[in-house]
Amino acid sequence: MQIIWQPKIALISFLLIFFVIYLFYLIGEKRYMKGTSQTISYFSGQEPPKNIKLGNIYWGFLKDLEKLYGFLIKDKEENTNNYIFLFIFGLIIFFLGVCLI
Amino acid sequence: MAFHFIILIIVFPLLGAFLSSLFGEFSKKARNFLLVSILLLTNIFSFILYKLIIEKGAFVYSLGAKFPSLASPDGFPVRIILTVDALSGFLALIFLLIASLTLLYSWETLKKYSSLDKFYALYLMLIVGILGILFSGDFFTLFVFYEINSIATTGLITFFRNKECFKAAFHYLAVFAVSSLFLLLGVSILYGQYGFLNMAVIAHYLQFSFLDKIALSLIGSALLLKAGLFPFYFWKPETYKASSVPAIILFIISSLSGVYALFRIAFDVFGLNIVFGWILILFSILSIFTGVFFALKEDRVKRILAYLAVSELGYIILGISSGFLAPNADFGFRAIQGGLFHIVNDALDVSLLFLIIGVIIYISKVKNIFEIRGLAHKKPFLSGLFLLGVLAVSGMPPLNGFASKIIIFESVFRLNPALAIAAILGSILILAVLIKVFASIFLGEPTNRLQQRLDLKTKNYQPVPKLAIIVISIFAMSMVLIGFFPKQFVNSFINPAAKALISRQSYINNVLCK
Repeated sequence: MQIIWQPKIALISFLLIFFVIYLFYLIGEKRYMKGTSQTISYFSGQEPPKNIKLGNIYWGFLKDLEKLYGFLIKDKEENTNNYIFLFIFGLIIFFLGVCLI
Repeated sequence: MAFHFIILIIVFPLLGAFLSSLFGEFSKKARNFLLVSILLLTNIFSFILYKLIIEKGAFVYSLGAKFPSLASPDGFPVRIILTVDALSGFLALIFLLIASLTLLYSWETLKKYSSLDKFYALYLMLIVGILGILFSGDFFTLFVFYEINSIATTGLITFFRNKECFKAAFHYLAVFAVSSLFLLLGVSILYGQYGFLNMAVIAHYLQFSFLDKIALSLIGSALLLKAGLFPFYFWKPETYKASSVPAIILFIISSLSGVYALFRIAFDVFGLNIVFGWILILFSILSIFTGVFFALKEDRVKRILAYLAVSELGYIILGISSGFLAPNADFGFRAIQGGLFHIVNDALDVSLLFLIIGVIIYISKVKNIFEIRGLAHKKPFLSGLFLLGVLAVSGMPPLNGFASKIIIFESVFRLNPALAIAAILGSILILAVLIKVFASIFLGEPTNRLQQRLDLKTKNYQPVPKLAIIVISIFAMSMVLIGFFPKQFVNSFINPAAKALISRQSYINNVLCK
């Protein structure tokens, strides 16, 4: 069997890429000053939104999809009947698919 | 003697489940010694059995017959029959290794809890359920082990004994009780039609009537629910969120045993191809995107990883189902290889992430892991291992996740380029989700709370459990090794397993002793 994936070649390529990145790093800014405007995040030239946690890196994307998420997630896990309903729903879809054979 | 290993692999953990509670009453050391001995023996049996299968071919073990090899239906249509071939033997070997390592992991991370005797009894019982599903050669045995699996899982979910656990356990029990009933109904329809429960015999006589289609839908839905594929994934996030990490690892391999049973029945009993394959391909693509879509929104790490497990399962099903459409074509066989290879990689990669999260919860004692930040400053080795897991799950080279995904992408591309593009997009989104998790926990300035917890001088200080780190390192090393030597791994283990899955006639002949 032929597998095109060659780990050794990939490893050598990665080492070369890291070397190039390291070269860029060497010519970079060396005067890092904590607590100055250097460390403030740049938010498209606007005031960054407040109360957004560090981990919420897809905040804008999720904000746009808020309504869709709200509809899909709504109380799904609060009621046992929903679980049974979802199982029966899946079974029906599966059955209809099998009947096409 | 080696022939009896098939039944001993199931009987030993079953006995251990009852004895561990008894031993635990007297001494914890005796209980732990018993657990290790049983799992060690079971691993050895499993290894020898697999070696024998590769040398001599599949084994059939019939309980209650004059000779264990006598699985023929003549004169006695209902009998417990176990079958082990290169696929089920290989999966049993891998799953047992993972379960054994996870047991060692649980010793330190769960030691403060009082109900460990019951936990280990259920732990072994779930292993019995998983192995039983892998070895079942008849439908009723499959149903029994499905039930054992569900009941043991319900017990394991309640380990923390809080409201969240009981709610999750009740939901799980309710939905799996209904699915068990449907599974039994499906089995009854087949028994009513053919008068047999033996899978190979039913495969031999199968007419594929409308009743058979109903039976396939009922049995298939129950197994898809166990696997947790779209649209049956809904139980996973709540269950994983409420459970302890060692239990979650078993739930992952339990789900994968459901995938095995689904394809064993679909390929070797019903022998279906085109439309059935396309239904599963549709479900798998929807699984990949549903998992990622919900994972992006989640703010609880166990739920995020649960959704990602749904996505990863999508890749397995995508690979094997694509092979369904053209099992004899070169790309079809490769797709099956990719899917089966990804079963191993998924079990290792997703488990690694959960194991590391378990250690972080243990040392930081936080309920929501996103309350801490900057862990990379304090625990660089752990952070490195987590990053390795992130890259492996996302299918980044040179790790094992990439090795199997590239086979799936290549072969699925030959079937339909749109499917391969969707799968690659899904993989990129998985990386996006995991970057969020990594950034939240490991990057940034460490929080005061974390500083306090990890400060040696404070009374809250909890040292990193060494045994757990060793277990995690073994997982990580296996991932790197498989990633660097995929060809050897595929040729040695995956090829025989894939051949065993697609050879319907040889499966039937093996059982019927033709």
